Formats: sequence, C-alpha cells, structure tokens
Amino acid sequence: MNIEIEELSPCRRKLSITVPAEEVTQEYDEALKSWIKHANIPGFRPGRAPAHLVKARHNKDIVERLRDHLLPKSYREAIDTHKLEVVQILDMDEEISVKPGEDMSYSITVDIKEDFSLPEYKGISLKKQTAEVADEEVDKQIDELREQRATFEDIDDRAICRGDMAQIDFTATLDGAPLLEAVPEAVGLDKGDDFWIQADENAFIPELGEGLAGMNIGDSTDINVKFDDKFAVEALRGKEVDFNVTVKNIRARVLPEIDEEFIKPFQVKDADEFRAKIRDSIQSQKDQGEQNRLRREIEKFLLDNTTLELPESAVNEAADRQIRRIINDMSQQGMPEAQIMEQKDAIVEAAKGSAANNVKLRYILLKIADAEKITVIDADLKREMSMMAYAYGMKPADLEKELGDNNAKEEFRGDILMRNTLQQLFDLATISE
Amino acid sequence: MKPAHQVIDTILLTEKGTVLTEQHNQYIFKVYPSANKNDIKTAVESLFKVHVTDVRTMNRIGKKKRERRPNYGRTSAWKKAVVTLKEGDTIDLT
Repeated sequence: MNIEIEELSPCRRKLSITVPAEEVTQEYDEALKSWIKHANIPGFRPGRAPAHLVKARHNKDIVERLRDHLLPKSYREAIDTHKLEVVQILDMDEEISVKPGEDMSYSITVDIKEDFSLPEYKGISLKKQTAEVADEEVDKQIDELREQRATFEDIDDRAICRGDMAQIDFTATLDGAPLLEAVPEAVGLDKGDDFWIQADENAFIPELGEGLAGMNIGDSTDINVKFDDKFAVEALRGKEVDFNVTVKNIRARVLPEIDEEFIKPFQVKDADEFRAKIRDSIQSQKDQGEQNRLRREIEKFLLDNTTLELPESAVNEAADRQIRRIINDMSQQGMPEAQIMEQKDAIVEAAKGSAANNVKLRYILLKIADAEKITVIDADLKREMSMMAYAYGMKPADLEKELGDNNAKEEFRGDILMRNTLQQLFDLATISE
Repeated sequence: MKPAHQVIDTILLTEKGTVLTEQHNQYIFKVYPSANKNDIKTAVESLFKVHVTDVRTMNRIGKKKRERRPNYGRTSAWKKAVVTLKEGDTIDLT
C-alpha cells in the first residue's frame, strides 16, 4: 500500500492512499466468494450458482461491499503505520472508484493530535494563601441570617426610618392632571389605598420609598418622582410624576435576638457554639475556594509551560459545545430568546477564547494520565453518571443509553480522568504556606 | 426450415443445466412446443456457430394453478431441449 502525506498546516494532514491492483483483486475475489454463499438466483439453490452468474447479477453490490471493507482497512493501516493520532476526519473524496484489477486511490484530510513534550509536572510549586476568618465576617454572616428572619411590628411612637414598611394612600398627578388621564398605561400607579410599601430603595418605585423617611402616622406630603429610563412602564420613562401620600400605618423591622429559638435549627447548644459553627462554615468555604484557586494555578502552569499546536476542528467543536451550553443555561434560567440573540456575539467570542485553552488542557492532562497510568474504573464512571442523572432528573439507565448513543460516554470518561489527574497533580505539588 | 427466433425461446440457466454443461457439454433450452429436433439442431448451430451431436426434447405440462376459489387453471405448457455439442465446442453464457 502506498501512502503519501501532505502537511497542510501543523495539525492538518492530507493522506493520499493507493491500494495496489493485486490487493483489490484479491479482496474482490473474497467478497465474491462470500457473496456466492448466499446469492439467491432463480434456477439454483442458494450457494450453488456459478460465479459468473452471481457476478453478472450482483456486481454492483459486491463492489460496494468491497469498498466498505477496503476503505476503513486501508485508512486504519495508513494511520497505524505513520502513528497518526486522528482527532477528526474533515474531508474525503466522494467518488472513489473500485474495480478489480485496478488500483484504488483516494485522498482524505484529517486533523491530528501533535505529539508534544510535557513540562515537569511533578512537584509544581504552589503558594498557599492562608485564609483566616475575621470576627467581622462572622458578625456579618450572623447579621444576614437575622435579616432573613426579621419580623415586622406595628409602631406609632416614631417617624418612618429606612427599611420600615409603611401603609399609605396615594394619588398620582402628572402636570396637575390625574396620571391615568395623561398616561393610560400607568394602571395601578395612579392611586392606591392602604398600600404597603417598603421605605427604602427596594420599593417598587425607589424614590417614593426613599421619600417616605421621616414621616409620622397621619402626615401627608407630595413626593416628586422622576422615572428613569429603565422603568417597567415604557410610557412613563423620563416623566416627572407627583405623588400625594398619606401615611396610615408604620411597621418596623425587628431583627431576632440570638436566643435559644434562633439557634435551634442549627443544632447547637449555645450562642458560642453557634458562632463557632458559623466560623467553621465560612472557613470551609474559604478553604474550598483556596483549593479551587490552587487547581487553577496548576492548570495555568500546565498551559503556560506547554507548547502545542491545536487542531482547528477540535477547538471549533469545543467552542460549539460551549456556545450550546451557555445558551442552554441562559434559556433554562428563563432568559427570553431575543435577549440571548442580542448577546450572541459576546457569547461566541467568550466561548472561542476559552475553547482553545480547554482543548489544550485536556490534551495535556490526558497525556499526563497516560504517562502516570491513571485510569477511570467503571465503578467510578457509573457513580458519576448516576450523580449526573439525578442532577438532570433522569434515570441513570436512561442517561447511560443517551450517552452511549451519542458516543459521549468516552468524553465523559475523559472528563473524570482529567479531574482525577488534576487531583493527582495537586497531591504531587509542593505547597508552601 | 423455421428461423431461429421461432424455435428457441431462451437458454435455461439452472443448477442442473450447469452440471450437465460441465460434465457432458450439454445445454438446456426452452423451445417452442412446435419445434422439432431438426429445427432445434439447425437453430442452435446457426445461432451459436457450433456443432450439435444430439438433441433430446421433453414436453413440460403447465403447472396446475388455483384461484382463491377451487377454480383450476394451468400455466402454459412448454418444451425443453437438451442439446449436446461436439467435444470442444462451447456456448458462452456470460
């Protein structure tokens, strides 16, 4: 077999493969022989018809079978003899003529994975940043928890403070005329009775909420509100509206004390233990963050210290996958399609940028895995797949079937292998405080 | 003498026929029932440019066929001829 390799780009090769006539003839005869065994020709029992009759009737089919057999065989032989690691087949001759007694030649363009040398990956030196938990952080966390459980109490002895809830009656006017007459779209904003509103910027009209501060029960005043460009009712944007407001009730936000009832759900004995528990949880969060940072450092080290040409098709494919994932995530979060389309260019740009690094990292890690003989055992794969299935709300068996159909199982195995390898590198690294 | 196309219908390619050809240099033809051995001999000789040493014929009665009701009919009757050629002569069937 004659193989010529043309280098189109660092990672792209054009293979011209010629299978000699003798081999084609030999393979044809074998194909014919196997066809005769089953050929059903009138006048003959199956398998008894003479070769020339079978040939006359089924030549087309036989040649097709021959091609289906010869093409992969010769291709595999070609990549085996030249030790090419093919990532993807890009292009192939469409019409390949196969005739017994003639050479069969065709060309095929493939993207290959280049062989590259790994940096010294054992004992990567990393600097650990010790993460101390400050008392203020614990306080902040506890305050947030208290905020979440805040209750409201009716009060009448003081004016409205920020964060209180106020019950108000209001009527709105635009340039002296009732709002609804001027802007028919502003239904519900024109007036309200016994309306509860939060007295800060979280109110449905932030300026109205802020303007309430300092008022007492029974007070009434005019508050001028200028709607900004982002207000939900389009017709009101940029308009100045006067709200005549009367305060009827005030409720103050009361934060719960850290008492037995408050700490009960945390399963701790007393306030000190509660504090310690909060501190622990912040600490473990920080530790996890630090671990992740160190892993990213390792990834960065590998990326920076390896020179490697990447096959274009693999990068494109990774980018495509990423784009699909981003869009999928967005639509799952309920983002409307029009908005996604608006951001299309930014998404594509972001995906392309990270795709090249992802592919490179994958190659490096898989090569290290090979060198270190790290493998993924089937039990691990099964477990990971079950976890993923539950995350998607599927049955593990269904997911496995889907992955198997899409040939994505190997990809998935690769992902796990990458993670394991990274963990191995992390264990091998020299970490200084 | 009848012209060849009124004598020979077709060459029969069957398993039995191939065996006869291999072992006895004989060929099987489907011929018109009205053709006699002399007609067949001349027709084969003139068509294929060979020498015929022997012709044996047999009348094949049409097969009995039934419709959905037991309403019997028959397929056409036909005549088969086994023609032996002089040693060395062949007919190319491919």
